[in-house]
Amino acid sequence: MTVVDVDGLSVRYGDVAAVSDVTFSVDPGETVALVGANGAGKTSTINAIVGILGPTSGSVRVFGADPASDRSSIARRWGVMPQAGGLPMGLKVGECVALFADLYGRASDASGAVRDCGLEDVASRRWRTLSGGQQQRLSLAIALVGGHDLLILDEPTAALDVPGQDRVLDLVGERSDKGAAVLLTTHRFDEVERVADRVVVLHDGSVAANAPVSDLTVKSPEIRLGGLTVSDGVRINAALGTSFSVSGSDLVSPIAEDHDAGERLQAVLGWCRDQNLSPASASVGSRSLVDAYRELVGE
Amino acid sequence: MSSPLTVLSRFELRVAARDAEQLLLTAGLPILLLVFFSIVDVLPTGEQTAVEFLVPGVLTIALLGSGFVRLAIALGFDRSFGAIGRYAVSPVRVVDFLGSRALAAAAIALAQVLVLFGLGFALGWRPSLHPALPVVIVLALVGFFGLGLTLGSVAEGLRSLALANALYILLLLLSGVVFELGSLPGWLEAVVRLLPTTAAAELLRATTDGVVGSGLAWAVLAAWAVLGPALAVRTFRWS
Repeated sequence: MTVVDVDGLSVRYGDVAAVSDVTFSVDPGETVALVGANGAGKTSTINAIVGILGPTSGSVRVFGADPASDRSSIARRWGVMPQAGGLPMGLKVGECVALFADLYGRASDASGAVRDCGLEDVASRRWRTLSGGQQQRLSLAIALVGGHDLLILDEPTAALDVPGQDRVLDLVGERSDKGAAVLLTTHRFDEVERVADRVVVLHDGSVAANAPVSDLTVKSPEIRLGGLTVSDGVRINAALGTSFSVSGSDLVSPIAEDHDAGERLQAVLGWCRDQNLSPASASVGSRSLVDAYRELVGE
Repeated sequence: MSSPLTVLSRFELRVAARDAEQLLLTAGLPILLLVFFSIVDVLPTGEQTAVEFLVPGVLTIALLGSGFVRLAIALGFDRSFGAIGRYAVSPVRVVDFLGSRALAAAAIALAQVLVLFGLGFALGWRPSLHPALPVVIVLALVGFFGLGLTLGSVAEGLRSLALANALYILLLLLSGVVFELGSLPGWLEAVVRLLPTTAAAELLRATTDGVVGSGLAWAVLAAWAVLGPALAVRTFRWS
């Protein structure tokens, strides 16, 4: 059974359309990453899924129920890490986790979540005195003491150091391996490639892509040339019909699906040789997810 | 497994018990007023002794402090600290959230009532209790809860703190708690008789003097007990 089913979701704030006709789903054991620029509609979509924002049109079902009207019963099955969730004033870290564990009927999970999120040393400190990264780990700990069937994380690693990011991604992976559906938003494409099965790209509130991560990378090979100039790229494009553009210090061109990557590379290198151009490096590889994203949103 | 209402009620009581500043305001101030003005005879109390005049008024102050002021400030700060957004995605329902705060506040208020009764008795107060007294206390508290939770939804953080305290002082000055309503201009007296604090003070005075009190005061108190919670539910938002 589909855990999260978003169908034609639109959310408007007055005259502004934050989300337009967004459709995607998350199945048990699947990790879906929602990516997009700031203001692309990620958090509005998450807020509609957790029932605190009503759709202007379309529908959201979570465990087959409407999160806006059945939120309290559905909520027992999910753990949520909101992007900007505070906590009651004056509470200590351990008390925060214990309170929410108790609300989910999982009081015995509290100490494990504190430990898993590396908060043992600060458990007796008031949450407001924590650094941004520590507050984020606290927020994750609270999500982890929630229901185990669905994990919703809105930018879970935004303020974390590298070990913290690794830990979060490991915990997400562990929860997913146990069959939980995971929906996360992020700006980090390395995270998406590491943990997500599928990526939903939002652009200006609409879905620009909804595909397995591998469909956007492995199935989209590219030729990468080092040591050439932009004008070299323009000349190659004009001569061979390629689409070289600058990516970092290289020229990169996607290869159409009906072309053989190796043959295209040989053709490009042959032309370069005839023109006395000597690329410092030449390779055929998968398009990176971030390049796929740039292409999708026209950046 | 405990319900969210039980978990939150226990939690709210624990938080309230260690919140020294709020306890001082809601529990300490009424006690201080009662003791001070019972000993220092400066209030115009008519034919009554100071303590006879004061206890019902101080009970009103106590109910207003823990019912209205404390709830408004706590909810207002929870909003500005972003805690509401966290509860919003948990299994907590509106009724659990508002109900737990009301239950915890009721427990504090009832403890205050008992302390103030004991203190009044020690200072020579000899009430003649009418059976309707508990009903007055419950209706007053329900109305104050509703108004406090409403204020905590429409004003956040420091604004809720400032407004709750300003309204607290204003209601106490106007409601016949520290002086008799007859001292007010006629038009103002007619208006303040519609305030929940005026009705609560009048009925607490009546039911601790062995009588049931006026129909108007009962109507006003009952109306606020319905209107307050209705406003609280209507203005509450999970964001």
